[in-house]
Amino acid sequence: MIERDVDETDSIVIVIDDDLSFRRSTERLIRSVGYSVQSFGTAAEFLRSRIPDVPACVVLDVRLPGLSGLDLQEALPKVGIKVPIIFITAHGDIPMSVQAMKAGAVEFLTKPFRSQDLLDAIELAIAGDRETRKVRARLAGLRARYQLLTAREREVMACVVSGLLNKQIAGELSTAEKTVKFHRGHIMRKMRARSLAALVRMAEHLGIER
Amino acid sequence: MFSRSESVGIHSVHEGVAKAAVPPSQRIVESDDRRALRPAARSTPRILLADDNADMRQYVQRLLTSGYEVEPVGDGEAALAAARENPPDLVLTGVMMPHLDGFGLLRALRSDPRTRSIPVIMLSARAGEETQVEGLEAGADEYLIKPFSARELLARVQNLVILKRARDALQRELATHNEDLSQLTQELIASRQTLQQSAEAQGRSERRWRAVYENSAVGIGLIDIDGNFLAANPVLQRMLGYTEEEFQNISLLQITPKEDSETTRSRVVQLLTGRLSEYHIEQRYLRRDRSIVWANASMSVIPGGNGEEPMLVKVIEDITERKRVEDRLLNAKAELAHATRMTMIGELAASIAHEINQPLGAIVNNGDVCLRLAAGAIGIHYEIREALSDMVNDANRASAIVATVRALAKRSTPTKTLLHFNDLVTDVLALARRELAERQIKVRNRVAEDLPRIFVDRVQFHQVLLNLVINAIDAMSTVEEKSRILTIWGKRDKLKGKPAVLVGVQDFGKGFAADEVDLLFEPFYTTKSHGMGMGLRISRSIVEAHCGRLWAQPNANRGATFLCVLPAGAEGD
Repeated sequence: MIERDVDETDSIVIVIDDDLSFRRSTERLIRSVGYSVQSFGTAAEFLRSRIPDVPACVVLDVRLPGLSGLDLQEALPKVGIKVPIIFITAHGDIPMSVQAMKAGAVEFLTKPFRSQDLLDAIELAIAGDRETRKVRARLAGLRARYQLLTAREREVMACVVSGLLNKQIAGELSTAEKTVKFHRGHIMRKMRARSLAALVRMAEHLGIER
Repeated sequence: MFSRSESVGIHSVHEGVAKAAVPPSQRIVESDDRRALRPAARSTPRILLADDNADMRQYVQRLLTSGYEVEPVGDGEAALAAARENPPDLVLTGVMMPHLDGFGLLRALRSDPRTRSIPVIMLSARAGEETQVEGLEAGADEYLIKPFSARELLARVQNLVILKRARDALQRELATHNEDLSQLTQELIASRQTLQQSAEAQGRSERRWRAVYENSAVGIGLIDIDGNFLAANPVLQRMLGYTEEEFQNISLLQITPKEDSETTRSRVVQLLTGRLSEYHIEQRYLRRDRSIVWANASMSVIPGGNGEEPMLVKVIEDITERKRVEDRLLNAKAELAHATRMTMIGELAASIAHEINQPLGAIVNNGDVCLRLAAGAIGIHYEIREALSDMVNDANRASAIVATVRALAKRSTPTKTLLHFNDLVTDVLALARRELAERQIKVRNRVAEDLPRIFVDRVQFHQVLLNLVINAIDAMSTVEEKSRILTIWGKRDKLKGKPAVLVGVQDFGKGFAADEVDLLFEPFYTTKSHGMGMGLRISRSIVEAHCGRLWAQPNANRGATFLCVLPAGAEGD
């Protein structure tokens, strides 16, 4: 996936189905409500392709030549791709749908399905992905800011978020209280924290403990 | 297990023969018409094989080569010359041959005292009942129609050779102490019939007679020309449930079921009129309690002489147990065939449902797209909308019909039990025994002894394993014989981190191309002229329904291996 300016309204639906006629009709359906669509005949083609880095979801056929839909579902996290999946199948296999849902699929639809069901599932999946992306982006920003701290500042931050007073921190780190205050100012600025409470929340997201 | 019970029969008879064997110091009578009895010292029975088709000769020779010394010849004249030169234990002959055909050969053999008593099996491509009757009337002991099964041929050959050897041994025994066999026969008959012989002579013939018939594992009975029993050995007494005394008042027809009595009567007539020297048949007999005993039976004539009547010797081998085992196997096969049919229908319905739902899905999608576009457009006739809407509804209706059919044909829920994989292998090798033997395929069982048990439906896994075995057999039909090796292995493995059993069915057959590996499991994909292409598909469905996986991979050198991994123990819902 390549980096691209994140546009809140931009999104893409990926359709993977080996039946050309079915694939085309599904593309048409999804496009008719305004989504952009990219479609593939096999899982391998999808893995080889470059997909824009925008909120997305995959409409995935269970039975595919080569890597099956379920195989792909299992493989995606391993190659670092996190994307919601809507399964479609002409087979109506119950054990298979259970397996797919257990592995985190958004929906499992049996062909032929009501088009509204698919479109609802897509809307839900894209909204979900957008949310996940926001959280991920926030966390990435947070990490980047934390990277700006010096080793000493990180030590001080860990003490601060664990509730120690400046005096106690000075004792703990064998330094002057004035120095601790100095570091603390830097930390608040670099982390863009408006309050101590905000800094504590950031530390939680980053998983910082003393 | 079957081969064991069969071989018990052979060994017992051979033991009987061995006990009756002639001490070298004693002289063997070699009057002209007893020359055929000579092959006493040989341990491997000799078979003379006459057929003008080299492939046929090769095939039969290969089948028999492990237990017999086979002399192949290309026509009837050569066969006759060879038989006269050195009478074999059995003649196997085709019907249509250059120079002298099978019937001509048979007549020539039967008309010559030296070769008269050699059993003859005719192999013919002519299936007509008339031809068969013609063959049997000309004095053939068996008449097999091509294509015959290897098993059938082996059984017939074995039976005839055993019976001939038993009879030879009996006659040799009779001949051992007396230069004149007919005199001994007379003596024997006389001793049993009139008891007027001197005590000494009677004792002598009795001893010899008993040596043969009391120690034999087969039932032996002496019958007069009216079909009444003169004597029956202990085995025959036990087999049919009559005492020795009671046998004196029993006729052949009393132990023969009604349906078979006419055949038996005509066989006896043929024997007594010299048209047959002996015959062999697989037949039922009635016990005293009217229950049935299945037997391999033979009957031959001890010629009369000096005004004495000829006698008939009947040799009966109890094969009831073998029959029972065969019946059980037949039942298992029937059960399997039924299960196969049911899964086939289920899988067929599922495949058709899948194939039909694809285009139906596309129709519904496209219809919906049109409806959406039409909804926002101006100037579209309302009937267009209605027609689109009907289209979508009808596509959905069609899909519902397919779903109903599929539900009807749905596989019944499997009955799972805890099984050892090795037991499945044993079952399936028994089921495929005939095919394996016919195609000359060696089986290597490399299943680890300590595998955890698997929780599966026995009949369904018979289906899976048998399917893989038959595929392997078919794949090896064109490779040379020494490479026809089927290996079944099994070992411990892990599936999703839990204990599992991994098994492989490996052949050295023609294998498959790399791009075929996905197609193999597709419905209706087959490389066989007689296949439907559902076998692997069904097998995979069954394995997946047991939470396992089934796949194929080409071997490094040649052939293919089909692998199946199944969770161990009681889990697997």
